[in-house]
Amino acid sequence: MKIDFSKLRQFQLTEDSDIKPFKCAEDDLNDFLFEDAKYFQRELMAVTYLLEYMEQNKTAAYFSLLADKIIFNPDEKGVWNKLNRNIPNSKRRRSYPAVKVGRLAVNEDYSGQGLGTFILDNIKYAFSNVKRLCCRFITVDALKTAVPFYERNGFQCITESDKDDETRLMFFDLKNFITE
Amino acid sequence: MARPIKETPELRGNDAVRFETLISTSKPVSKEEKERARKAYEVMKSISNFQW
Repeated sequence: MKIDFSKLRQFQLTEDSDIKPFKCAEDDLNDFLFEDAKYFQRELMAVTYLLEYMEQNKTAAYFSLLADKIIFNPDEKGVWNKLNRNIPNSKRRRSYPAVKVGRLAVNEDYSGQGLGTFILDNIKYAFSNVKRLCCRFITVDALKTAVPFYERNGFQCITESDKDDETRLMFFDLKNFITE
Repeated sequence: MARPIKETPELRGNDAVRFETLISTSKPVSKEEKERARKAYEVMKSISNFQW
């Protein structure tokens, strides 16, 4: 079903939100929206945004964001120093701030139309240019089936240790987004 | 109930070296991609009931 992005409406999920019908191929993503998203919000652990397609009275997509950070083991001084070489000693930190995409899902009725990339583009721009909160990285806990999608959007795997897991941790370096 | 949101682990050993290589060799995003993101942000702002 062809979707006109300008006819979507974006809301932040609240305790009173009436979540419009949503279904995608992954049960986990359906369950998170209807069973867990409000709990995460109530506990200040993740905020969920809904994209509703008013004409169809459906939730077209949703995504959940939370704070994250990339930390190096203190013993990895060589690597840490290399990463920090452009930062004066007095301003160096032991971790980099990040925003994590805890969940991102598109209703199966609207899949394949670039809605997921549209959401990621918005997050990239908001956190690199609007800067209400400064983050160096976007991280994501990606279902294995979604790894190619995130790779097409410039994400890379953080670790090899989760290559046999159901999900893979990936990152996008926002510095690349502001560098000419 | 959905699976938990996996936590980002502390990077060590080969993962730390690999991560350093990835971010030190990555290239700036193209102007076209930045422009596409700016437009996405503007559309998103126009359809939101809050300010990003």
